[in-house]
Amino acid sequence: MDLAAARVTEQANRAAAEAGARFARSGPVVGKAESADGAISVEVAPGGLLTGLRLHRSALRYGSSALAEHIFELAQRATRRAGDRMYHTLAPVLGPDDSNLRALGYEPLADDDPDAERYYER
Amino acid sequence: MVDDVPVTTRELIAQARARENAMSQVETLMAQARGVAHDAGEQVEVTVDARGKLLRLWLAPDAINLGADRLGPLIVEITQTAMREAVQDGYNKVALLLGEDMTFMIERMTGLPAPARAEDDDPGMTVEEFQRLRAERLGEAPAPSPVGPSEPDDDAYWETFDPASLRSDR
Repeated sequence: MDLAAARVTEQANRAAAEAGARFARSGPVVGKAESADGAISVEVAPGGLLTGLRLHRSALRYGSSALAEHIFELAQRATRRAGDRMYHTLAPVLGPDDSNLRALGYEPLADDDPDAERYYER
Repeated sequence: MVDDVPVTTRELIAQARARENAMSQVETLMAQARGVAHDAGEQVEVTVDARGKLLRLWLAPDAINLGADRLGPLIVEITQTAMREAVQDGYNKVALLLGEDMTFMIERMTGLPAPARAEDDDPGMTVEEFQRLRAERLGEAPAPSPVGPSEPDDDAYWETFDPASLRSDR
């Protein structure tokens, strides 16, 4: 058991060191999305954990229910963008077809995907 | 101790297969883990998976009264609490399948310890605490002290209880 754990840990450490070097160059990976009117902007970590949510006073005019819906949709979009960035950072280390990338939800977004990053740059 | 050591190759293979089979389910179990959290005022409720991905966000109609500056950070904070719940939920499921030792090993390999192992983990609340807080929330009068009039009544009931009074199922 200890041997198996040590082997897996060593493999993980090696991949982590390589990936770490890439992250050091790119900075921490985050996914961002903003509503069209700029009143809601969200930031998530890879995997989708909400790390930032900025609301402008005008966002409250949506009402609770619609506001929750907007935040949810933006969080989904930001999560996909973070997954896209993670894919492009890790695929060169793990290989583009690595099953871990898919299992973690790190998938590339097609250029014509409405959630693709270029739509975000305003 | 010696009896625990497998003697045949067949047993070794069977053990390895069983372990492999169990490990393959870890990913599925962690993916199924869910965590829910809400604020003290129950104006915001969030459901996430073990990686923190938002699965549901509910805001009470009066949540917007908190103001834009407070509501945003509050949702972020509750989401992070919900994620800790989800991680614990995942490890609880894994521990049921693989046992405590294997779960601890997985925690070490992933570098993500189960929140319940943290020294500052909230041990939860006692039944009395829960009932007191619930009564306060509902605006009821303070609950009677444990040595209230209800206890002797209960005892009296059981002392005079006649099992023959139960309906026969024959």
